[in-house]
Amino acid sequence: MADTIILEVARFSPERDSQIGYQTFEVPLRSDWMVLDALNYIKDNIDGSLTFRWSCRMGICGSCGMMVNGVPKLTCETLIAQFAPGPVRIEPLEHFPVVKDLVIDMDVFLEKLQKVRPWIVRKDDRLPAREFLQTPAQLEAFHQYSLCINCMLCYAACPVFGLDQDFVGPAALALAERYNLDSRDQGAPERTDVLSQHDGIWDCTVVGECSTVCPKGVDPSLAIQQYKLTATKEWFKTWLLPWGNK
Amino acid sequence: MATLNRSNRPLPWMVFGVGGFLVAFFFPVHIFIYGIALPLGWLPTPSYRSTLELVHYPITRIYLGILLVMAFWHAAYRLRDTVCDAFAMRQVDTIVAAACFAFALAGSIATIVALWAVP
Amino acid sequence: MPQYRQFQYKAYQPVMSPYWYFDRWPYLKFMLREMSSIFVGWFAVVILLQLNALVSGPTAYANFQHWMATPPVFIVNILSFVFICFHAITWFMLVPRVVARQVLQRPSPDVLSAAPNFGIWLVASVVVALFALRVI
Repeated sequence: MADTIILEVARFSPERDSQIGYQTFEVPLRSDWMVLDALNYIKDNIDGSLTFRWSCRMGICGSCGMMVNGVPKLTCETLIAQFAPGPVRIEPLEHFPVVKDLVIDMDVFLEKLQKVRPWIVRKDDRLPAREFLQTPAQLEAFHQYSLCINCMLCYAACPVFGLDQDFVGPAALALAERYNLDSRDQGAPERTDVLSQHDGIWDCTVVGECSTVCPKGVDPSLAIQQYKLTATKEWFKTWLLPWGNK
Repeated sequence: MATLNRSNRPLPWMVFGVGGFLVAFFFPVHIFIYGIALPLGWLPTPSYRSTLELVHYPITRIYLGILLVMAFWHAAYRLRDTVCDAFAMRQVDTIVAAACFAFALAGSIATIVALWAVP
Repeated sequence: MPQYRQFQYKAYQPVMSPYWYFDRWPYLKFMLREMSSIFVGWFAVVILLQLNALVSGPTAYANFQHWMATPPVFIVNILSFVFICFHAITWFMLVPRVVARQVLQRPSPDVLSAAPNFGIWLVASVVVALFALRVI
């Protein structure tokens, strides 16, 4: 194994640039290094102005998502040695505005997330007298979707979001489904109004890459298709049954 | 009334879904026989009379009617999204959708007319 | 908009290439799958033409059979076969998973929920073939 590898890192300075440029760095190639370690090596030893987000280094905070050779990855759990002999291209997550270098503006996502009410909604606001009980089967129904860490890799992988920024998108839809399927939740009717619009589930053309790139094994693509089925049932109930439109 | 905001896509989507199954189950064998095997002479070609007899059966006509109409709408639904995605034309989606669904409607009418004309 | 925003520098807005599906194989695969719709439309029209020819008489039907054997039409039919089989396989792998989860209320393995479809596909093909070739 060669002892160094070349990184082509996207650079963008909002003060100077109107386009993204690339800068190459030569970093040591170590078998136990993640891409994030290489980026930190650059920041510590070569160019302190390189800007990127990271926090936990163990794949749970969801801050260090970047495009590694064109594929969205959590850089803290992507071994750099697999790309030897290189070069490795590091870019900010696709389809998002770039604030600086590898840092994206995530407001677009946060607005969408808020819209689907990703929390337990109850019909009455009173605090329950005791905790809500749930069987293992009821937990199993939504557990997979609750593993989402909001890292936005699925948005970077979704061409529909790239083509149409109004699309609610994979993670937000998966999280909506996570609460819809939760036996303690009663907010499904309210979420339907957001999900059943054109920009909700119906924009999805089932590319399926959101599920492939998810570092947590969440399957947003499945959640969306399932919700299409639910929305279709709702639609028929509303239009065919006189008592359905409540 | 909040329901007014909801998309009416469920109806075409339902047809797209059912059509997708019918196309997947029945189209490959149709293409294989009439498009590949018979032109290449891999299989004995049935006589004109026996083939005409086949479409006399009401069951064949019902089968062909359902299969073709669903196939046209399935293709139209998917073609609309494909055209919009392939040429980044989501802003003219209405025109694309109108063209695709007009094709499906024309195909459906032609199917019914053709099956009606069978003696 | 928060007030501090007016002092922020403008972010870079990425532009998506209209040819984005050539960037990565999964995207190209998706586009090829969606393009099967063109061939579904094409062969539905072919079946219509066949019906019309059949009703118009033996000469018209012989002309139709001859037309199906001409190289351009034959090549398009081969392509249709490949594309629609691709559609069938992807469809059988994806759709039952959605339905199975809705019916069973729990996730089921891909292969298990897809298997019955491949069985139905085989049986349907054999039945249609027997009728079309006038074995029955």
